[in-house]
Amino acid sequence: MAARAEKSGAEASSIAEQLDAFIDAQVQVAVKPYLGKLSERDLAWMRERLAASIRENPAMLALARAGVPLDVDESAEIARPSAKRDDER
Amino acid sequence: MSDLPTEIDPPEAEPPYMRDPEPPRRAHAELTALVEQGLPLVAPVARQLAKELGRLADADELASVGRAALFDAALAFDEQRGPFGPYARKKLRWAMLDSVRRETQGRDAYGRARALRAAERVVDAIAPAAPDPVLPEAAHARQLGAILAAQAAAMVVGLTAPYRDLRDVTSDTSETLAISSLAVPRKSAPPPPPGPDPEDLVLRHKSSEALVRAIATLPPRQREIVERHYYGEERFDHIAESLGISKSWASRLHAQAMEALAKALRDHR
Repeated sequence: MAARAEKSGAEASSIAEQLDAFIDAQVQVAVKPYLGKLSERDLAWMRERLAASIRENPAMLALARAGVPLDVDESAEIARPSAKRDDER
Repeated sequence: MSDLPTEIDPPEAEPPYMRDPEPPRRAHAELTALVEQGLPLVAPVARQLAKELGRLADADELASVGRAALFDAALAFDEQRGPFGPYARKKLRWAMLDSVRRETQGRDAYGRARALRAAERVVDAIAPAAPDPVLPEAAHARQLGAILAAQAAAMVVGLTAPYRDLRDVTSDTSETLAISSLAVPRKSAPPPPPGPDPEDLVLRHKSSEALVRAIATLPPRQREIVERHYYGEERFDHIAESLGISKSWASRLHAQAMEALAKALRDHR
């Protein structure tokens, strides 16, 4: 039971990390055309606000969750960030 | 890319569902209840916005603006479009952002307030209410990327468009400034907080030159909206009205313009 909960927690953490990495990568791509054209201070502010615009807007967050490429484990099950496991329903 | 209508569509092509709805009439008690419901939101929204602006605006002053804006939000609220809380939060935020620009709390706060408002206008116009379950993840990623690119372009427009002390604007809000003009603050005005570093200003100026060239290539109505709003400081609803289109439709054209600018600036390396 404890092992299962531990595995579930690790999976959730891994999914959250994948989502964070995906958001960061998307933000970097959006800001890339302005590298060297705006100051590092302005660019850092833009990165922070663009990432927040995803995390703080339900529609944008849902889009990010739907777009994140997820690792497939040995069971071939894909765990979506918003999906609940059967035993959590 | 989004499936937004093309710029060459005449204003008459605006679909009926895009037209701005009439605000509902409300009894005094109902208005009071909405205002009371919204009051606890004011201080947190003000604190959050002050943080987002890098502490360039005072949270207490923003809260004071928010309290005044709450009544307008209650008046215009349409419950068919969702609950009051999220609606009020957005309206309070926009009123506070507008006040930062109006009250000119320094060039930096002004630029950031304009950039945030521009980016939020893009999301409101083109973010889907929910992801299409039929589409593969790569399509969602592309859609998100396109929205972020348009938001980033909107932020750059907001940060680099000329700074203008709006306390100097009297009755003629339709005056269009020359694109390269920078207003000189009024002598009697209190000194604004420290502005951006010189490095920020030099780079912003360089970016604004590339941006002005890109704006000149936009289709006529998109260009008119961008120039009048960001360089002429005209209110968005006034521009929409003078073009004979709804504010929602003008927001769509604005988002299209930002998508086009994002592409132009990406290709301009």
